[in-house]
Amino acid sequence: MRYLHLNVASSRRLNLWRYWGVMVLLLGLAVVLIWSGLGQFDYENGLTAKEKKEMLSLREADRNFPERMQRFQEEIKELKRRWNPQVRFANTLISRKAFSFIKGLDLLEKALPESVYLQRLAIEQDRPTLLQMEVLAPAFADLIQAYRRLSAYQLEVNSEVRDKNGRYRVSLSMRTKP
Amino acid sequence: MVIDKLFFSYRRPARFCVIGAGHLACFQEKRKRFHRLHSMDTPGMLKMSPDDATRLGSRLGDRAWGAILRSDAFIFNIFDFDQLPRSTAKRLELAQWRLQKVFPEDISLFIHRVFHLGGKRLLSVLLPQKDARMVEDWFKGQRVPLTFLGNSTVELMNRLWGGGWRMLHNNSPRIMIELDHQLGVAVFQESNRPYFIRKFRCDSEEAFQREIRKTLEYVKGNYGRTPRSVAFFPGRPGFKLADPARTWRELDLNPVQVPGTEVFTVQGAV
Repeated sequence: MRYLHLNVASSRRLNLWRYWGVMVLLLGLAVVLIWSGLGQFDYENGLTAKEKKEMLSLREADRNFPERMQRFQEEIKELKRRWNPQVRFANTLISRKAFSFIKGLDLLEKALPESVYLQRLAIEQDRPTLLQMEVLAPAFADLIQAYRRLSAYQLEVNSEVRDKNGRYRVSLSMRTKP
Repeated sequence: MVIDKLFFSYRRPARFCVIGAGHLACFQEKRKRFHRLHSMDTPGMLKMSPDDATRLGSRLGDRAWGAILRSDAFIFNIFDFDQLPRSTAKRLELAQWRLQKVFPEDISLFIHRVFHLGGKRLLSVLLPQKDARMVEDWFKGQRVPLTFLGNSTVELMNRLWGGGWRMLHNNSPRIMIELDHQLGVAVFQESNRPYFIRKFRCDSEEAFQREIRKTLEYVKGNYGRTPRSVAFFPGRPGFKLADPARTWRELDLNPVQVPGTEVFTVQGAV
């Protein structure tokens, strides 16, 4: 049988031993916590030599921070000055790459009559809308029909030569944007 | 609740009074020995004469005191269950539910405590609130702090069978009988776990023997046990056993002396 603690009194006795025991325990706990908290403020004492050296170098670096920042700013300006033309050029290349050559060729395929053959095609990088080509037409009527169709695209005929087989070799240029 | 359990003691203070029917004795415990400070014959705390009250009050001083009441006002019940919940609150509810089936009065008028006796057995202790307040008010009137109000039967049960290494001893008495004036309390135990408790009235040695014999028969019939050893604690009996040894011999019981229980016996009572 366990000890039966029968006490029906409305007021009971304060267990002083337990009370002071808990109080001392709490006080001790508080002291330990405060001590460990203070230890955090004085944490450099617990560092190794390597960590201290690293800490010193970081502090040294931190001491020249504004000068270093000024130097970095100047370096950034110099880099910008040096790299800006190249960046612009790269951007141009990117914009050119964005031009659809396939679209121009597709337009050319639809505009030229079936009997007219494309012998040479040149597209300049600086002027991607300008198509310079050399076409071969078997008859003059076909050539005229080709001129009519391409006339909507700022057609310029550079040369028109009839070869020994009677075919017309024509060098012309046009713009894909009418 | 935690702070209450942690910081406030349910234990008896070093100074305490044993208040019986017609007799009051004050003791102080020093180095596990009890010293009688004061004793007086009185019909009760409220019926005490002003001189007696003043004399007792001057003896008490202003230190914390405890009071141990005899079992006259207490009501004990031992309940056996098939299952017992772990929670103390649930056990209290269970005991109250069982108590309502056997106890006709309003339980809210009583101070009710429930103790686990081991296994699936609970001890329910009831004390009328008015009796408890009566004692507390008397101490309050004397400006003496009363921090303990207990019961002599429970204290004796603790002394005989309660806790610690004492549980391992097999030679503890199987019956504990406390007698105060005309009130007897018999507690039966097996393996240091009380299983039956009975209060009875007796005004003579014959009546005492008859009640004990009747109780032994009841225990034998209902629990199948025949206890042989008894610890007897006579308080202030209304009668005196002429030959205690013969009485126990006739009841087929061997009396056992238990040290440390002298506060519950009145010298020269047997």
